[in-house]
Amino acid sequence: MNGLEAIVYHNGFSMAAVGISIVFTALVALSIIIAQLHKLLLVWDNRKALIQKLRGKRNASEAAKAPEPDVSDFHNIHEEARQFNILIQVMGEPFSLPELIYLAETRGIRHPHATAAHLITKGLVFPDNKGFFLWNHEVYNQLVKGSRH
Amino acid sequence: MSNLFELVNMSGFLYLTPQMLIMWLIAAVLVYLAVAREFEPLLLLPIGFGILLANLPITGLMEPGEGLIWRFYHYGIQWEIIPPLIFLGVGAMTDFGPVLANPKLLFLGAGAQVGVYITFLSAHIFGFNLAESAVIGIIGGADGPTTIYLAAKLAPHMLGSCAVAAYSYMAMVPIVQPPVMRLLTTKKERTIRMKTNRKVGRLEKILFPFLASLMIILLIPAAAPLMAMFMLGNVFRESRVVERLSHAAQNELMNISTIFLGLPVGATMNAEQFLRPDVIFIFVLGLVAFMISTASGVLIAKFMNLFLKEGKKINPLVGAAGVSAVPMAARVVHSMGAKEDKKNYLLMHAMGPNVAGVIGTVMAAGIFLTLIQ
Amino acid sequence: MRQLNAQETDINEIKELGFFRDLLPEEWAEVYALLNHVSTIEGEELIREGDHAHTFFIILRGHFMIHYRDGRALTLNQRGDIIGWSTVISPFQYTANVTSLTEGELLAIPGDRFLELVQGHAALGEKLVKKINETLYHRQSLD
Repeated sequence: MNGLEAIVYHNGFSMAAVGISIVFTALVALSIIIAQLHKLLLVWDNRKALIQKLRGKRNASEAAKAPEPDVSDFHNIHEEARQFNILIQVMGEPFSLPELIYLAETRGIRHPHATAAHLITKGLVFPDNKGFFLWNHEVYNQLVKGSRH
Repeated sequence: MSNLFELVNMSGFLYLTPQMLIMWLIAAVLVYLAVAREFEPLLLLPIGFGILLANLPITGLMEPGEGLIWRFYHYGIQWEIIPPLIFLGVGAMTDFGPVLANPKLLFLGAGAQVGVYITFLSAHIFGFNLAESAVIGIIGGADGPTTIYLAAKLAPHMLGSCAVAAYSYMAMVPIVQPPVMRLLTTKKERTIRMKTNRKVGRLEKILFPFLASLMIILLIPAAAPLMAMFMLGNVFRESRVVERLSHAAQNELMNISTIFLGLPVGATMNAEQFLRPDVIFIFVLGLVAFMISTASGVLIAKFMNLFLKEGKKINPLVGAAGVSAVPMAARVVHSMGAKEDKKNYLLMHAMGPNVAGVIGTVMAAGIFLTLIQ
Repeated sequence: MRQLNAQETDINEIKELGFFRDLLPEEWAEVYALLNHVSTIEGEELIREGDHAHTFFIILRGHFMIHYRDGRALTLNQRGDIIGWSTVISPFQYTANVTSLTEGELLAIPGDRFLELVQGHAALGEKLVKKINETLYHRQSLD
């Protein structure tokens, strides 16, 4: 038996239809899952901030009584520098730049890569010529002083 | 004197047949393509040598139960060991980043499987049985190990010819695909620039092989051997804690597996099995399958563009990378795009459908196994 | 005087990069045929240690970090800086990771084509490899 007759007899058309449908369905499902995956991971990464936000709403009055540390001195580079300075204090010097970026990323600091580049450009972070990096305390202190005046 | 006659009688010269000499020529062509033209040399060279060995008389190399190469074939391919090991290596070399950054590119990997099914039906019309048709169809996926895996299970007598067809077309991607791509796209479409993808995090890359394994293996259990090893290799890579295993899977294991894949596959091609009219059909239908897969990938991309906003449109050339000849198909897409617009860098975008094509072809093979075996 | 269009201006600017400056016109033509423009986003992994050296890059714009498994790193942000010397040095596997710290733009040359060019044209190959060696020397060979 040859030709279309053979295909019909052996359910060839339905096999092809089922086959292509399953492949499409599986890949569509997979694409939906991975399209949502990074959003879920983002929520997971920022879970502490989210929980705080939720609690904050509930205890708005309590929060008012316990003010946030004063960060008004820091804008743009100042704020970035302050956050990275804290991380570097924890890590110690000299520090590994990729590790610093990784730490910043896991602590929910926005744009950790670009921030690191920005701090290097501004001279706040500089290489020790052995592959590690140092924090320029002098420049940082000037920055802090400058922002207070 | 009688000893001399005995020696002559025991030599292979007396048993040579014209068909064997033709097979030597075929072996020489494959070796030439591998050495001089560098067409898939890692596979075509051992396959070519395997063909030569299989067509030497009274060697017993492919004697069931006894022959050396038969043992490689039996324990490596019939026992389904080597193709999954190759997939382990491929998984360790695969970066799913482009797919994760732009999941809609997965559709293009599915689109290219249309060719597999159209060719499956066409082969059946030409008189091949269902199992043989499935193996011929899967050539369109342009995935050598999957073709070998499926052929070994469904139509072992076609293993050699289908493997050679699959690897030949994989090698000829730069010749076969561009005319189809040019025919189906306008110059304007070929110059579409795709936006740079978002950054993909490490955790996302680690989770993907687990999620993909769960979903695909639960849906198509017959795809488990290849899919499981593919994703395991990728877990090695992305976890970054077993660099040694990842390196071994990508290099030593992959190289050893490639040797023990190519040689026995070539050795299955003896003159009686290969010099038959239906083998020509296999090559012609395989080529058709490959061209339809390329075309369907491009057309699916064009179809998706109907629903995508300006600035988010897909360059339809990228659809052609949905066949799973990794990374050759993606490179061809990139060079075609760059010919139209030198600043258009399509390589990373094309890698998305390219790896999706691998997943799609494995699923298609799994479905054939489920429905036909 | 003829007004240069945007693409021609680009070509002339690129030609003046340190890496290409000493090339003869016919050598430049061969190299130019291989160049592709690539853009990167912040945090994008450009190169991964241990992978087959698939691409050679020349920085046009942006800030890039070359980093090693032991935590060492160096950053590059100069127009004309090169990344991916492993494309022309055996065993042709990257020896470090490279991440884009900011949005960036690079010229990319496919590794196999670059190797072919370097191996196939003695004079041109020597010039390019010399440039690569100079760069590596200045980086004080962190690897």
